[in-house]
Amino acid sequence: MLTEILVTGMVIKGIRDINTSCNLDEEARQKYMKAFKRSAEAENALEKKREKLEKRLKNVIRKKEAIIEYTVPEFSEVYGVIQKVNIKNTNNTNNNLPILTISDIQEINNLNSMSISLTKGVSDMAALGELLLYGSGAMVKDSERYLSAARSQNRMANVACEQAKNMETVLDAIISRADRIANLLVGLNQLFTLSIEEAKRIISNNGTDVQQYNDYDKHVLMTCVNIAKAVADSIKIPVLDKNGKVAKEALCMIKTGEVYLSKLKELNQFL
Amino acid sequence: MSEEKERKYDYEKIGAIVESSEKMKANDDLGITKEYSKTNRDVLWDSTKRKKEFKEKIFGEKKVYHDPLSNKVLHKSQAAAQRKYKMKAPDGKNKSTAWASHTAETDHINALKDTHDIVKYNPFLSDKDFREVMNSDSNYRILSKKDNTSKGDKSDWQLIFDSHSDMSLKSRGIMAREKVKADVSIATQFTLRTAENIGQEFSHGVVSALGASKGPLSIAAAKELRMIMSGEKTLKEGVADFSKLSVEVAVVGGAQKVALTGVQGLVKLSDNPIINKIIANNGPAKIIALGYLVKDSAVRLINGEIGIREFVQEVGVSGTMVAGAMVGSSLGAEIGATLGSMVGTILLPGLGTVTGGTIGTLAGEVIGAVLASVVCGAISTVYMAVQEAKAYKHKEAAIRKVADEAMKVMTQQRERFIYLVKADNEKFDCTVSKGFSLLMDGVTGENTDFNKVNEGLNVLLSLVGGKVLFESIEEYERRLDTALELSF
Repeated sequence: MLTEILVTGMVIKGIRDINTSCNLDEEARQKYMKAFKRSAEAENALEKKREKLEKRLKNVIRKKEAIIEYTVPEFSEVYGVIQKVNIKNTNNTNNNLPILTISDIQEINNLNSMSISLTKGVSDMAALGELLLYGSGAMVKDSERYLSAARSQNRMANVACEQAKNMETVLDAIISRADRIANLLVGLNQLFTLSIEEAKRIISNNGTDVQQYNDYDKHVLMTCVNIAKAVADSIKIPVLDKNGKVAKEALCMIKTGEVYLSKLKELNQFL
Repeated sequence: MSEEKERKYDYEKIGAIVESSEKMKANDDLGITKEYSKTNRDVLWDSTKRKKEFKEKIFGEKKVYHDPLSNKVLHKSQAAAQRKYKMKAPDGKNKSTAWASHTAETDHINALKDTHDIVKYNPFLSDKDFREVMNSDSNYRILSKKDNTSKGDKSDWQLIFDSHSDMSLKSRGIMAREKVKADVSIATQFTLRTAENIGQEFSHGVVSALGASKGPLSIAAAKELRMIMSGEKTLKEGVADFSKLSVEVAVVGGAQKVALTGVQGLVKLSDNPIINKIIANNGPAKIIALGYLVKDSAVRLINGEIGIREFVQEVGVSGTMVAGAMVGSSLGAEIGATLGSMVGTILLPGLGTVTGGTIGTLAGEVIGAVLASVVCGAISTVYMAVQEAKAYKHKEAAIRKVADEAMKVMTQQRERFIYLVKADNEKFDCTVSKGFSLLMDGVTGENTDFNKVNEGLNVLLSLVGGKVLFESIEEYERRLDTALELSF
């Protein structure tokens, strides 16, 4: 009878400890879920930002192509009767950009998939030994380790999300610059078009011998050429100058994040 | 038989055991086959016959048995279960496996493999001993075929404490009770058989191997052996009462209770002057306290946090005598000898062994092993727990430190970058705005101001470090005869 009471008591205590252990497990699980969710959201946001960047860059390219395919040939045709025009197409519609790639996004993913390597098994005899010495608190110890790992995973996820945020900031910078360049090209193209129209009118009225033109008409032609030069140079403006301060700062920022993430990965694996 | 004679008889019996042990040569039949394989299991250790006998015994004349663990009715005959639970469909195909939940099988409470892993290091047990103990009734129970299969490699404790299992609390209690009883029973049987089988070869490695069979195998045996030694019980009575008493000890227990019981037994055997000397100063409770004190210091010695000198200072002379052998230190053979005569051989698994100069009595050996295994079990458990605790806590702390620093630095860098981009964009916007403003001024006035137009273009071209081609019509006219080169 005494034995039965004692054993039952032990089992009840054990099950109470299981509940504690389960609560700790549940807390750990929640932390893991939070970490994964946050990282997934960051990854998603970064991917969306990347898609937006691609669209904005394509917009710039379209503006450039419109100028090259329509406005420049028109200039060549109209002004070519006054002076020989050699147009070189350098295909400089695509700028060399330090664009973040999908591999950067996958780096964040790798942190999420770090395996949860803690095992919670307690061997039979060890369990009995520990039960006699410590009660089923041994299971709670395992759960504490599990919770500790979950907290660490959460912290690493925070850093990964911070890196994603920084990457997004860089992409935002590129997007804002791309939009500015696109607007500049639109403005210049309109100016160029108007200037070509004016030049066409003057040539039509005065013929092709510029020596016979008055100063105003010569100014008009000269301005048309200057605008053409301005447009040709503006097409070459980089969305993000590799040697500029902004690009350098962006690369430094991303690199810093990579170093920290790499260090955390190392700590998680080898300690 | 008078009390004195009875005691003499028991001492004589034990003395005879000791004497025969001393005369006995190394027995080649002793030692359990090390390799655990299916073949070895089937040939050497399992017993279909005994399982059948047990099943017959449980069922008796009845054809069914109510299993308290699964709360199901189990059939003695598999065929009967298959018929009742309609295993086969009319076309002869197997339809359901429900019968497996109602077919009785004999199961080992302590699995052969698990126990083999522990006792295989005991050189004083034979394969026959192992088979007989593991296939004794106390290690058997009836389970359904399904439960036996789904149990797999899981131990009873894992099943009992599995929060996802749908086993009822009552069933878990029953299983735990059976498990503890079985543990205690086979521990007793192994220990008693070990005691009977021990030969003269108390060599360093042999004793070390005995110590390797630590943990529950020797814990519960201590008390009964002590009582046998003190003459309170005969060997037969001790074995008979062993289960009940030892379950109580095991359940309520902890190392302290068992150790105290063992030491109290030593106190009663105080013909030994060395024991008298030590006990006189310390008393059993003090020795227990010393044991724990020593345990903490021993862990620190093992960890290299303190040296031998500090260890001795910490635990004091008496404690040193207990601990000297425990950590196998160089405190000496004489300490070991003293210890050997007091508590037999004390073993620290894996870290070395000190063998007493005098082997001591047979019971002393076992009690010594019990004390050592319990305390050393505590040491190794605490040591391992400390290491693991340190490891995972260190890891978390290190990660926290790096993560906190990372967050701070990365946030600062991002803020700086945002500021830089804002300034850069403002400069761009300002330049473009100024450029177009000049252009508009130039073309929208009453008379077109071509200088302003040029100025505006120059401002825009400053974004790429460029300038207009022609600043004046004279310059323009001079170049009219050459081709205009433009690259887009």
